Amino acid sequence: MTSQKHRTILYGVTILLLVVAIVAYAAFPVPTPEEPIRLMYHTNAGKVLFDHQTHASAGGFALSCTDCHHLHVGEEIEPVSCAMCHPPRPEGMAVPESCFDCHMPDEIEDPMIMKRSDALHEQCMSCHEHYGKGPTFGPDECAKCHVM
Amino acid sequence: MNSPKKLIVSHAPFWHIGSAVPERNYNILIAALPAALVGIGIYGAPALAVLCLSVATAIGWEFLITTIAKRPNTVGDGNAAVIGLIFGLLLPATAPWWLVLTGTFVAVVIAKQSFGGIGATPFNPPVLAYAILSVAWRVYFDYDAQLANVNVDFTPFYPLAAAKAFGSGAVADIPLRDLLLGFEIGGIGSTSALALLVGGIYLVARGYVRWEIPLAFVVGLFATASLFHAANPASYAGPLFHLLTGFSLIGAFFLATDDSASPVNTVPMLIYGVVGGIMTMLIRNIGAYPEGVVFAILLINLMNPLVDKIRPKAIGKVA
Repeated sequence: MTSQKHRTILYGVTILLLVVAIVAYAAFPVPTPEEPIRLMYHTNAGKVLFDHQTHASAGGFALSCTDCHHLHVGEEIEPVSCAMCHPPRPEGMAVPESCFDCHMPDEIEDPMIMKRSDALHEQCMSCHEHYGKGPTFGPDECAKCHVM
Repeated sequence: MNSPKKLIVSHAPFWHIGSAVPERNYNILIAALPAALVGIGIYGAPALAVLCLSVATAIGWEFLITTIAKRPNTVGDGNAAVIGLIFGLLLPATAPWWLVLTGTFVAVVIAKQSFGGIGATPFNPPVLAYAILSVAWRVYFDYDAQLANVNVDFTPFYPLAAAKAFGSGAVADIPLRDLLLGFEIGGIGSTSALALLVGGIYLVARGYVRWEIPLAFVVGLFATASLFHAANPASYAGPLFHLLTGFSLIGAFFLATDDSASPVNTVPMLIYGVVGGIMTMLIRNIGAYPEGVVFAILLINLMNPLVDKIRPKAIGKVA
């Protein structure tokens, strides 16, 4: 086969591949699921991969939503992402910094919003302690969950 | 006295056997297909999109740079397609289009053409592109983060990252069958040990890859992983895990064996491969990155001209 023939075939294949790629990128993007599958938290102390699906599914730890997501003003809305209210860091985030940004003082008892790291630490640790399962934790055991 | 080993060369005219650079490259494409198909089978259309875009843009960059630089059009030799496919196989299935486009640009234009094109590359182009991009945009090469929204029915974390961070206990439950078949979080085509072995053995059997480099690479990796595991089984995972995980086998058969970046003599090939395997395990176990193959191969590519100076003794002697 001559070089010219190779080139002609390859140009055709290239255009075909490009079309397939554009169609596949446009038509089949990886969707962000309504209920998270896994969550990767990038923190100051490394990253933490949280397997939401395994915690929430019947085949996994079978936790109900409200075991972790506290109900928000009664029960009128679905559980929301932790970061909706618990900002990853105190400054510069487009999330409420205080409950009073949205609510009247008589609607809530505790106006303090914990920052995300405190909220997640408390949530994860208390649950693992309660069930006596999962990674151990403590001041010297950050690397049981955090990938440094 | 006639020796059976004597080479007999007849006079012209000669007949070309038909084997040339394009044939070699198309055979590498064929050998990489099983791994690509496994990746597409596991991750579906997104993986197909990444692979197609990677091959198409690599060929596109090759065409563009040879046209602009007024060099001979080398698109037809298939080398750009090989670079595109191999680079695509290393990426996560959710790699954005601009990352693929940039990666193939670095591989074809910077790592290949700026050094003089095929046969003149000091580093394997897909490996160099992967290394540069993974340093520049680390999070896009973090398989755990990139595949977090992909629902899988196998171990849902990148085994090498888990083994490095949490010790061998974290990966003890991963069945070797999953690692063999490719049911693990990782690059599109780098996870199925079986598919890579099939492709690699095909290349060795057809003579496009010399057996010394992959074998030495695997032996170096296996031996070093065994030593680490024997020294501290709780911290360091076993040799079979390391052999079947991550880029180990794609590295041994497809990355370390790059034509111009690997030695041609037997002893240098063995040294080159063994050092690659050892460096891989050193980076994985005590380095900063969970996967060591990419940087280990860059290092042995760098070492290649030096070790290739070890040559066989010339036959005969000067009087």
